[in-house]
Amino acid sequence: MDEQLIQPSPVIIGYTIVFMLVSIAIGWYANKFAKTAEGFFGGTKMFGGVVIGLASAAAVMSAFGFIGGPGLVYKFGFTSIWMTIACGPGFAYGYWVIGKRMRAMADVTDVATLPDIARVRFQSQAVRGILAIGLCAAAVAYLSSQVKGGAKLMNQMLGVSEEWGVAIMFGSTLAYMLVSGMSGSILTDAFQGLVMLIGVFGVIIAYFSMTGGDLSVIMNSPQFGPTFVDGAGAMPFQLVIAFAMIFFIGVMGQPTMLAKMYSVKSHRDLKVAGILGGCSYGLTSLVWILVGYGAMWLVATGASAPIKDLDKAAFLFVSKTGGVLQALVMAALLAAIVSTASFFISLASGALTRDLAGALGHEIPVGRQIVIGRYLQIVVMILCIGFGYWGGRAVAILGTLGWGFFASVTIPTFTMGLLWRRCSREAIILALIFAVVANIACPILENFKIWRFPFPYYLFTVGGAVIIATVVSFFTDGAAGKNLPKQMEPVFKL
Amino acid sequence: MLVAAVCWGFVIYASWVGGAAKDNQLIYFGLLACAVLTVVYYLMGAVVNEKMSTTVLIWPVLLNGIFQAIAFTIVYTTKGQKMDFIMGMHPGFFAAMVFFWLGNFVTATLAYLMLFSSKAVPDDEWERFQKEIAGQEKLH
Repeated sequence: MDEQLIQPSPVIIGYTIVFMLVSIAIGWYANKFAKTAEGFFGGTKMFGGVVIGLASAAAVMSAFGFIGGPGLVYKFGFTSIWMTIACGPGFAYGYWVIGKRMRAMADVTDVATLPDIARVRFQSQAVRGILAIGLCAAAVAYLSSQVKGGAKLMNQMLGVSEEWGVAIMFGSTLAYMLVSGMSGSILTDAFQGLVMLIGVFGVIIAYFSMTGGDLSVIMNSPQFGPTFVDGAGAMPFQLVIAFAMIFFIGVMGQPTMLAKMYSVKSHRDLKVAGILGGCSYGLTSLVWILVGYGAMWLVATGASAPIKDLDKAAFLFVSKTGGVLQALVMAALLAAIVSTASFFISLASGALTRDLAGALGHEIPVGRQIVIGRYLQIVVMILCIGFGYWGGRAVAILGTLGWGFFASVTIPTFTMGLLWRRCSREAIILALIFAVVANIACPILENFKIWRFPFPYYLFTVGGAVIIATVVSFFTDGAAGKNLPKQMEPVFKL
Repeated sequence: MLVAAVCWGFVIYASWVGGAAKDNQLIYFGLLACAVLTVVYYLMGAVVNEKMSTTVLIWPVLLNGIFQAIAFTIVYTTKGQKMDFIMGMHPGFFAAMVFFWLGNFVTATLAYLMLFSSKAVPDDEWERFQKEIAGQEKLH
């Protein structure tokens, strides 16, 4: 068991139990939206802008933002903050760029999953299949990397062993996911988004009452210095490019946001979804920033000893706040993990049940898809927990699959595919193959110290996939240009 | 899309060569290419019926790129320097938060709020879309 920085109090334990019970209740209520494949796997055209906005923000902000992010700020200053300050306004930017066209696709065809849209746009089972494999692999890998973080959090919150922590956290999530699938994920995510926002206000109060908001102590500290308070941070400068770019443009490539664009009831709901999602995420990103600098301030002033385990930075800061604030912030951390986990469980099971099977020529009858999807949710969950705990080096390698992987498969497919008539089937197939292979090969090469880019590899995989899709589209015309399905024409005129 | 692909290529080049050689000026140019890239996607996505109004072109589209370029420039020129703080923040920190974070909110989120019904997703365009697809079979 880890060093106990937080003492589990009745307030923290009580708030956690209430949080879980309410999540389960909402998830069960959402069963009424999950009677069809579209409802179970996509929540398609079912929710208002407020629900979608909060759910998007909650699903995009993961444990990494609340635990890993502050750790990076503590270690390197501002550099990693570029990720989170890019992401918030990136929501509305994404809605400007492809929001209306994603929603329009739900009227042009029957949509339950993202690969459904890809298949229809490019008239290709291959595109559907490769995208499904990519999304599923990235979802499982990403979720696996969250398992230990979740276990540590439960250990700090409830004082239980990590094994029990995993069982409680993921068991309660599965308890409603089995009943309501993606619809349950969306509704509970909205609730969890609210919990996160409450936690944010706790963090703001705690940070300013603790530090007074002055960073000059850090600049003048021998342990830190000016690079920890400037706008570039202590990481290599080129990382600012990757972070600012991939996390601003890349938001619209995240399934956690893309899939929500067709879940809004009407086109008018796009407005609230885009604005509320961005503003909510923007507020939650204050946790990343303030908790990181708060931990740094504690060390710079000598109030705490320096920490070695970066994941402890968040807990160090929270441990210095009062009992109620601790409960609010810790519940927000829990909400960040659970909301992301529920989405990815649904994404992976949908990709396997509906898309991979279909792409391989075994289209599962619609009536049976939900039943099989439920079984696969359990399989995905067990796989993630097992892989997360016993995957060893493979987890360290594949745990980096996530944001960049998703952007590299979805930006060519959806952003280019829905903005550019000339984007062809052949181009997307090649871009997807490149993205899947490169995203798996690059971290393996890095981990075995064979080859390393002087920047995060996903900048190369996203940019490479876009360049391949562009160049190949000029020489091929499958489902593009004059071969574009005529039903797609109205979408391009929107 | 060709311009976007060229920008992506330059961004990778600037990160790669600039990172390996620790050439911060090249990396700064890569950052400026990022600002251009965001404008390119914005231009393509914010059109309505293949047209873009001058209002949208200026705000939010071009202003978005300008705010990003200002933020990157200040961050680059103040990187690693001990300087007087602005509102409790280092000038580079201040530029990132005000011009990049807040600036992007103004040119994406606020603009979406203000222009949604008139310029982003006008009701009449959506109704025209619905009429067009009403007469056709669902695409499979």
